[in-house]
Amino acid sequence: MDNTIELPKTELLEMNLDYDGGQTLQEAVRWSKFLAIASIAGMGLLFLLFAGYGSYYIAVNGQELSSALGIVWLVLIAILIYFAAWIVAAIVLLRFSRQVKRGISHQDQTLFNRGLKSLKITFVILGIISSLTLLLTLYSIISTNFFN
Amino acid sequence: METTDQSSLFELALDQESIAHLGETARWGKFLAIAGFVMCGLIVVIGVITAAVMSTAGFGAFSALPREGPDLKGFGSIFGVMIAGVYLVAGAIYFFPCLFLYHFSVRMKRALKLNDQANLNRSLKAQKYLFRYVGILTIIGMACLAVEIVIFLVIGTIALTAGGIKS
Repeated sequence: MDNTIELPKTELLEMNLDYDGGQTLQEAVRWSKFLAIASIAGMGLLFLLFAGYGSYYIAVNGQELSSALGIVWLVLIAILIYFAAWIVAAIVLLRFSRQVKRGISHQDQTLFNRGLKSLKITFVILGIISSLTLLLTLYSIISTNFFN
Repeated sequence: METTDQSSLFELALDQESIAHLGETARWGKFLAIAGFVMCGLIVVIGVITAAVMSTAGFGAFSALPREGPDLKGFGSIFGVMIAGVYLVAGAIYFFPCLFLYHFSVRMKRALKLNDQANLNRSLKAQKYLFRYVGILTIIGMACLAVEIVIFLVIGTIALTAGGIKS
């Protein structure tokens, strides 16, 4: 027989989404939905632009770039991965908006929790992107100012 | 009466799972906000350094123009001030979303730690301001892009028409 006493979880954590919080979250979700859609469209366009122009540039100047072709490909792939990461973050943000909106309107705790999980994933992706961007910026500043 | 009706609209609880998600979101949010503040500082510092260098060295320091040519020092300082202004404005624009994100994260952490409903609501408000601010910036950016495209098309059409008349 299991002797462990399971405390009621709601007793420990008494916060809930009250009227004010719910209204605020609903407005936040509306803006985040717009942001997500705009980001998907914008980053998608940039992705296609870079993929198209990058491969065209390599095809036209491939022979001239023979020694640096590997680096050009690497830079192009890195840029495409960067845009793809932004698109993924925007898709997860859109999922957050939809799930939280539906969770609030249907009073569905599971959907609401899934929405919060999506927000967490969005922040994780953005955190990784921004830390890489910051490191690259610092590296470029240091390399241009101290090693030239 | 109205309050009772309104509060009954939102009966979602913050259970263990949602608390865990919000806690981790707040941690990453705080990191993102601090990284943003660092970027803001870098933007301002780069702007100030660029302006200072251009003001002292003149425009020739940043171009391939010969030094014996016309004195471009005055133009360099004006250009430097303009660049510093652009960088400062960019830094100021970028500062506010970081501040909202920082408020969201700190208040959320405090709310989860102290089980404080008021802090939770304030944190959600900061999140709303963050999304609204970035959303409005996006709308302004899209409007500017649309205006640029229209100007580009008008100038292109005028140039083509003028070319057609000449030939």
